[in-house]
Amino acid sequence: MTALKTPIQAQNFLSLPTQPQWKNFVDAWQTAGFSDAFVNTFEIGIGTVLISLLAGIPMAYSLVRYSVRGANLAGGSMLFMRIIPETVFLLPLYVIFRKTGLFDTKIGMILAFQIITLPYTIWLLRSFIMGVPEEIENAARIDGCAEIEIPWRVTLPLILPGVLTSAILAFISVWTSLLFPLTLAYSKAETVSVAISSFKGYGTFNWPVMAAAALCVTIPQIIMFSLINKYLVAGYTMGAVKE
Amino acid sequence: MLQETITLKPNQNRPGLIRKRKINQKKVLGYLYLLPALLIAGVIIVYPLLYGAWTSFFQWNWTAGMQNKAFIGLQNYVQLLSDEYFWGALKNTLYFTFLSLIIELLLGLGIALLLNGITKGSLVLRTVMMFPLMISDIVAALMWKMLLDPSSGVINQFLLSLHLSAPNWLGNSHLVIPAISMVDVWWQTGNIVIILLAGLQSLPREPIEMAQVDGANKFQLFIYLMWPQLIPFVKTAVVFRLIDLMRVFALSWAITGGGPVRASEVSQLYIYKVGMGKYLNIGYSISLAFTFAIIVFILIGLVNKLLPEKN
Repeated sequence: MTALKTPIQAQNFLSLPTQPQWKNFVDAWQTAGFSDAFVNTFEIGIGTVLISLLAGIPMAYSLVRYSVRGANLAGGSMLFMRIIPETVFLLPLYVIFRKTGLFDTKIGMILAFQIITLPYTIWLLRSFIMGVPEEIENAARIDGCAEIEIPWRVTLPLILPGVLTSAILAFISVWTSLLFPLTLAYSKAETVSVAISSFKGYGTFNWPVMAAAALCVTIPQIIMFSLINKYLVAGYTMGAVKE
Repeated sequence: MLQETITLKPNQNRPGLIRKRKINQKKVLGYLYLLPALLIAGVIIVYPLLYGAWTSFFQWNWTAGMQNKAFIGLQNYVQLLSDEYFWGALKNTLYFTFLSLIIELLLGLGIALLLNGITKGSLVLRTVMMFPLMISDIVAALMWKMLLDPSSGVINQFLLSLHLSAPNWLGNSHLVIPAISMVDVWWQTGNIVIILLAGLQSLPREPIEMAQVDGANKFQLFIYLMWPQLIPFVKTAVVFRLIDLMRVFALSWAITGGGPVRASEVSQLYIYKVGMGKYLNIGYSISLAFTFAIIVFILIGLVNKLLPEKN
């Protein structure tokens, strides 16, 4: 909204920026380790996505193609993970992280985020894989493609947009999550969401700088969202009609 | 068709052996593919859950020293039954959830119907609608905190300029939850619009056109033709929103930190405060978390059962 346009003297909102204070952006960038948090979140996000994809794609494939026992159970547990309030994991993770020294580490955060991203990714990938007709894979089999190669050479290229969508959605969850980073990280593995809220302080606000920071955080998000806009709508309706 | 040709071939040439190997290979691969994900899930999902459940039977208050752990059985759960803050937070959460849900549904439905009817300019409107969704909850929360500020916030300045009363949104315990609810409506109504719009656009055109020819007005059209078809979509929207609304945290934490005397303290915020706040009462807060989770599940299950699936 228009609030994003006021990295300036915001006392009287209606006063339009007379001299755009780009300095605010610089301030935001340099304050309180915001830039660190930015980079951190990026790294953590990419790490999380990679792990989720590496573990998720095979599992989704297995669930769809090889009717392994407990496929339905897996589907149910995905839903379960979606509903469960994060606080249930929060404190046990906090205790475990402190004891194992994973507290405030990027690896720890990447692992923790798997709780959210892994089920979601597998769920999405499952839908996409189901959209690939088996005939194509069978055709490849006839042509001599080894079983072990099929998912990677045949199916994967076909669901690449789906993979990308899942990746971006997972990245966005990392980018926007607040509770986990708030509890499980302190300074070295901070995410942008926490960093932004550290601007709020306890007394007087530095609205302009905070707004500048908020903008820095939101723009990548908007970019990512626009990229997958088409697929989002398709994804929702897929879910709705199937249920 | 293609399927038959495949199974026939190996059968004819070398019955038994190749087929068996293929099947085994598939099974092995199947399980193998599950492995990494299940491993991660086991470590990061199952273990903490079990550990948490176990810990909830302890009196474990870290401010009294990390080693000070005492097994007290179900006492945490007994304690929470009479914890007025817990139930207060739950009440706040439910109030917030249903207020937001109803407003978002009505608003979302209206907007979806509108968008469905317009052809030109709908893309622009749609993008405007979706825009708030692209912001993270923290950013939305902080933004509205700024806007709702009683003295320097835009909303109040606007109201004052219209000579209307400019209430203290965040300081008034009666207004604070509706205020936060407003933020969520602004933020998430787009979600409902997406779902309902998809539903509207999937409706078959002929019955509607026939009814229009027969002279049905818009109202009748809606009630008898569209609504029944929309029900599954509405249900999906409701369940999705319900899940996310009950888990609210950022809006409450960032905007009011619990509000005037806990008036806007939602469940997750309370659980967080108990565990991570001054007291670090780990055992108790975990029991709170589990109880809240169970309540959420029961709620979702109920809503799911009670809402009609189809017409």
